Amino acid sequence: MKIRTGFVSNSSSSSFTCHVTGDEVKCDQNGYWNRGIRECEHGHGFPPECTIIPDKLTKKQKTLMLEIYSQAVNDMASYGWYDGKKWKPTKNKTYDDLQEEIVTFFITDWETEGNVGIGIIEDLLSLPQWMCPICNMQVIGFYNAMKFMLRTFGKGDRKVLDKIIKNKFSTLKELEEFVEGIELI
Amino acid sequence: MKIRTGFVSNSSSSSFVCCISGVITSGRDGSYEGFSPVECICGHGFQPRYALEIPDNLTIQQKEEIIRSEGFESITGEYEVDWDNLDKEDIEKIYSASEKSIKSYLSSSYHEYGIFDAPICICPICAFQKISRNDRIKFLVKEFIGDDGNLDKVDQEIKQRFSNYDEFWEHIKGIKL
Repeated sequence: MKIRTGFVSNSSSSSFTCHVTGDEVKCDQNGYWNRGIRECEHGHGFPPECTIIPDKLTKKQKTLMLEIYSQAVNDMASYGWYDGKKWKPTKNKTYDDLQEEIVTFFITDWETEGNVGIGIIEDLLSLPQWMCPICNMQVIGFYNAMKFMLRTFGKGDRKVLDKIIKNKFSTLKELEEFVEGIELI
Repeated sequence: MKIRTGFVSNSSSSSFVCCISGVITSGRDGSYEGFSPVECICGHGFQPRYALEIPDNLTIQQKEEIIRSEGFESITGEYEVDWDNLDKEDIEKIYSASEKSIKSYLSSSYHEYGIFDAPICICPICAFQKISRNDRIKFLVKEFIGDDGNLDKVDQEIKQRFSNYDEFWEHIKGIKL
């Protein structure tokens, strides 16, 4: 496992997009991230608590989760963040032995809670499709919902949509009056 | 209704988002590493390449807006006048003396500290020549969902229309917001 650290400006490693909320997850100048993020193999960023852990896991799925957890525990130790109360040694253990700890590891926002010090755990940024709420259509996500609306209203083209808007309104004030009450946060 | 977006607020000390392209620039101590931002007095922030040219026939009010802009103070600040009580004569004098420099400064591609409180006449959003990303999203939400703004309705429609993510992705792939 690698831990992503440091502030790298003008680089993709300094921010992630949360596809569920639309938030930008960013690294500050001291290397602290403003919240935890998970990313699937298809590049969908999502909050840790949205990680899908199926009730019935296959043997292969259990092995993968144990591997990631095991690697993380070792790396935590090497970075000096090992907490024996939270992390348990995995030697000679199976997924079933450590199920509670492993599930907690995947769904907890370690970055914000300060448990991992600085950095993002890179192995949690290439999770398999079956753990991703976007890939499984459990959550549509802000950006995909907007793209769907743009496809429906503007044939998927911003310029077409802008023409529609400009044909409908003659000034910015008119547009602002139309969308009044809709607040972007 | 509140819709969560990923757009960082425009006047942050550490980052600035172009409301047209969504491109982010990082700033420290007032200077910027990517593009140098322009922000009009209404708060629309954008990359300098989107700035409109200053028109020739300006009203006295527009001239005052320009000479009072934070980004041009290095040019206009040298005039010894009572800035709290500018009269028409002062405005005309300062503007005509600095017009060329201001236009030249505006047309250059990089201004280390950005231009803030920029006049409305150079803002493509105020002029309704460009639509901001936020306004575009608000329009979509309003048109699609209506006044109650419940995004769950969109999710439900998508889930009814597509049986899996691959099908849905085929429908939306290539679309840029």
